[in-house]
Amino acid sequence: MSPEELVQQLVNALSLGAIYALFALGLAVVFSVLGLLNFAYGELVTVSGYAMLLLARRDLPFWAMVVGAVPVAIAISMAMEFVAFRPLRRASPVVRLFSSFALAVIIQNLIRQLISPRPQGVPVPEFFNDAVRLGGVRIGVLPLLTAAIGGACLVGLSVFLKRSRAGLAMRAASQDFAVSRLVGVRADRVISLAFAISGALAGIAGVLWVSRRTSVSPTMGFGPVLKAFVATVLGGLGNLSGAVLGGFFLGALEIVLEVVLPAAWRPFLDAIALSIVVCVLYFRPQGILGGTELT
Amino acid sequence: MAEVPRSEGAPLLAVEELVVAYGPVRALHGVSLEVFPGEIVAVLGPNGAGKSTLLKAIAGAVAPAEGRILHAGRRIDGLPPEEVVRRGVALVPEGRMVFPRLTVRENLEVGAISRRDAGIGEDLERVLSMFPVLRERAGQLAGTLSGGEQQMLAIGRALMARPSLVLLDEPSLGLAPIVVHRVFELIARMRQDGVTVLLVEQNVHRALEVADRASVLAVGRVVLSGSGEELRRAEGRLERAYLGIGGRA
Repeated sequence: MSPEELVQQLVNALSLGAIYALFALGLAVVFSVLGLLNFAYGELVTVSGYAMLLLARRDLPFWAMVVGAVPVAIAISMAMEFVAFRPLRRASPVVRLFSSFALAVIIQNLIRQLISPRPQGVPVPEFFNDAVRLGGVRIGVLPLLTAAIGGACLVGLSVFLKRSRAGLAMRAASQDFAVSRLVGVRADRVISLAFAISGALAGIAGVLWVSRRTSVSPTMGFGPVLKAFVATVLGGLGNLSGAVLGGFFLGALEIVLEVVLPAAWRPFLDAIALSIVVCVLYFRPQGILGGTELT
Repeated sequence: MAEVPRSEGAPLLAVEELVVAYGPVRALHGVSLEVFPGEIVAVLGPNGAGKSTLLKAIAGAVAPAEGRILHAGRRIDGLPPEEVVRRGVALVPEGRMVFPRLTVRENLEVGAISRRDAGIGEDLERVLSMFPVLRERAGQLAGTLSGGEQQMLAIGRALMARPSLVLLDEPSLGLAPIVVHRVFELIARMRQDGVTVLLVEQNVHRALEVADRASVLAVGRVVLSGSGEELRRAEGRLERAYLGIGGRA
């Protein structure tokens, strides 16, 4: 592989890793506060994709599609909490898990009924496919943008958690929810906030994801929620740094496999990647970083 | 039962015929208790007597089945814990329960999360002066502190809410005697600072030294109450009858 190709693939790995990291972080942020694996999380990605589609049909420019899609994902995420999880707060984790499955199915079918059961193309700007020359190496605009936006989101979230009062309340709630309430953290508010952040991450990652695949379909959320789940478990369930690490690991792993695998093996890429993940977990069953706290 | 001395004025905390049940099991069978402003009141009793349950019910962590809890004349029973602390009642839970992966400073800051006023920085400074060891370790993760330091932090965290009433659940549990001594000094000091204290303790001797009044709880009922002095004189009888432990703990 030439040095140029190496840099290109590195950017690809960072770009896919950033998307997976955002996916994973959105799932982990809710898990860390509520102990809930929200399997309807993938549908937030779907919803943000369809929001882009509907805005595109109104001939709005791409930036407006993005600006519209992310708040929709945030709103739907918070609505999910209010409708499907808040009434079940005292219910067993299994019940809440089923509630999240039900939500996923309902949203998928709503989209099938209201929009279309078939995949729909989403227009993205032409320049996403261009390449820029950086230090003599040609790099795709979209991977570069994706890596940069993903990185900015990670830094932004980290600063929010470390520097703001709301972030402090969330970290306390993630370490001991009952005690955090005793010191005055408002349960409803901190949970709403976790879902809002989860929705924002799903929305932003969704926009980046749809920009790559340039289409949406009712079941498109399955991939992201699966990747998010794998990355989260890989990094250490509920540990936010772990989720980010797991996301980048998974993204990089897939890019490496894409490069090294013979063409005939490509269909098994996911299977091979997951097998490697299983091997990692065999040696570190608690995940790379382990733990259930916001760190 | 000994005549309970009454302090002047209205009680800061009044617990009336409180019943708490965990499923079909009743932990408290109609407990009544009053704490007057500026007092230190101890609740004594053996394991399983319902002492912690009483504090948790006052703090809003468990919901009472019957009875009333009034703080400064207003009902607080049935309120969630985050609202009770806003009314000025802060619990220092059993086992410290500091946030292990927050720094010492962050633990104190989160203690003031219920407040919006401008005095938080000042109070942080005051707590750090009260506990010099916490100032030394302000940037350290709370999980790395010793048990005694964590107890100081848990008390400091509760004070950061600027409460009128602090509920202390077994503050001496598992601490070295010298640290226990320090904790009880602090409890006395809190009263000087105008904070009223309701204290649950297994260390009867220490608790009666510091308390103005005490109630003894056994199997979910108040079986004896009186001034600290009265119960101290009756300590031998009290321990044999209700606590089943010998001598000073």
